[in-house]
Amino acid sequence: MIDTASALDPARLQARLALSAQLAALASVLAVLERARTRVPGGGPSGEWHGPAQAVYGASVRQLGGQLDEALDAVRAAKRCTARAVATLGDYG
Amino acid sequence: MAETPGTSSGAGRPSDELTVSGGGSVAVASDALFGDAQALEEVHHDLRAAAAQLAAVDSLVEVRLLRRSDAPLSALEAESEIARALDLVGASAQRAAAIAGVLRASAVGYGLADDAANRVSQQLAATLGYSTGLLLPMVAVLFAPALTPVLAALLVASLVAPKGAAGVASGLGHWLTDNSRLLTNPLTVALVRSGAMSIDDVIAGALGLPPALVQALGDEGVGATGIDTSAGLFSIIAAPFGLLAETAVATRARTQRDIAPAPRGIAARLDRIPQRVTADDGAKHGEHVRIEHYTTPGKPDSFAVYITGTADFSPRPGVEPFDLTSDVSTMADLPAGAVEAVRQAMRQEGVTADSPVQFTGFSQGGLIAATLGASGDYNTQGVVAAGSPTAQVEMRGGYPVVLLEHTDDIVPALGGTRTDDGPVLVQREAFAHRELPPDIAVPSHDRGEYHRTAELADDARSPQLIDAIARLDELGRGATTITSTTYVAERVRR
Repeated sequence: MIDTASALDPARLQARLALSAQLAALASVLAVLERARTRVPGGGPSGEWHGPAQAVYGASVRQLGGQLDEALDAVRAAKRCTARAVATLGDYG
Repeated sequence: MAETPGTSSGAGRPSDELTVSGGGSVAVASDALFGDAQALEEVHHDLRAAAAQLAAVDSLVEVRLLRRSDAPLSALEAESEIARALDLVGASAQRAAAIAGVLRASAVGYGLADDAANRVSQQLAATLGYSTGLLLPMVAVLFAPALTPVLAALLVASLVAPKGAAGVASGLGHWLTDNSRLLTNPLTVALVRSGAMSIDDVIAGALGLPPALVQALGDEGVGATGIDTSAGLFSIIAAPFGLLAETAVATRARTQRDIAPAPRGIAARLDRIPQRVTADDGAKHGEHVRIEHYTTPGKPDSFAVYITGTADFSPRPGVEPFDLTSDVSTMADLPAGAVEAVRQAMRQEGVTADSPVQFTGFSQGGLIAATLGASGDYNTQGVVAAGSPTAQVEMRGGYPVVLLEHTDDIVPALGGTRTDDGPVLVQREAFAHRELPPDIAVPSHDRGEYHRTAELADDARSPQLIDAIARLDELGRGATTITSTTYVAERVRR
């Protein structure tokens, strides 16, 4: 819902529309990343696979998980900031 | 190729780790490793999609527009977070692909190393076997004075008093039961496998054939001689004594009933294999073959054939066709009573050369399943074998094949070393970290243990195994009528 005041400022209206689209797209990205995160193997001890190779593998998948957690945090932060910006632009009107 | 009824009774933690190989690949790895590699490839795929979406998101809002519209600082912070996320997702995608690649490479590397080690050990076993064979005549000359009366006494005892010979066999059975840990051991199984592969070399050495010729003709060369020729030789030598001599068989239908639905997965297939059991009075009960007949509108009738294992271990053939004689004959690729029994049952059921058919068997039944599936006489749509010495049967028809073998079960090892990487081979050490049940000679060959392995295979994550099971499950899908008929066979003298 675009209010009359915002509609009077074409740049602000355009920014608000773009940020709203960004918000929706970020929600979709978040869903894909969350699914990917659940698929990352645990890298825990295996019945047959012991020793240094297992430890290196475990460390690698843990690093991958940590990196994905950071990416998820960044997308959630981007989503939060975008939502706040959309609300603020609405308040300007 | 014993068939022990019931489930395992071993105490302790069961070993549920599967090793999967084959399926057209040289890779060998635990199911967990294949599953992780697959999962990481899916993660990589997801992350590439997410990165593309993020790049598109990044282009939705231009910084110039935010400045021109006097947008709040949070809008710029969002752009910064998106750029950070894009970097992290890109790096994560690369990392996921790299780890998956390393896992796949390690499986291939392990498979190649395993293959190389097998070739080396086979070569060593062949050389050792040949040398042993060369020495055999000398040993025979040295020990002949002592051996002759002993062997003669044993032969006379077995002919005059068969119960005496049965006593020897019974004593051997007790010894095996008392020493089951020795038999239920991956090292023993590996030795048995190497030994099976080098029997032809022992014979060639004993005959004094030139080593170069033996190597050229054997498994290490063109493969003209091997386990099949050795088994054939045993049959020929034993036949004049009435041992391992093939006979005609007669097969008849016993029961018929309608059932539903078609089996899904490996465990459900093993459940349908009929079982022969020996009563206290020595009489055999149960059936040899079960055939399920699927009728599906718009499709040709299809069939699933389930085949039991060895029911009689005597080398002297009686009425039971699923015996040691059939074991040796099938290994020798000679006409075997048990194989003929299954063929007769299939003919009575109306299976033609064009009928889609799947074979499932346990122990000797699995060997027969593999042999008939690969015979070219049927429109084979799949083979499942559990605890069977199928390594010398080449199954290259393009149909799905799943083989279950325990690394501590000597029975599959009697087939020697597999060279065909088409079948999906699922292995498990059944009694790793477990106590052995006290009353079973070869507990790792127990049907219940193989049922457990089948359940694990059904839940496995290895893509080649999942694909093979899905293809097996295609047979009988959508069938409106399923009839199950059991068959019993016996040897007949003509």
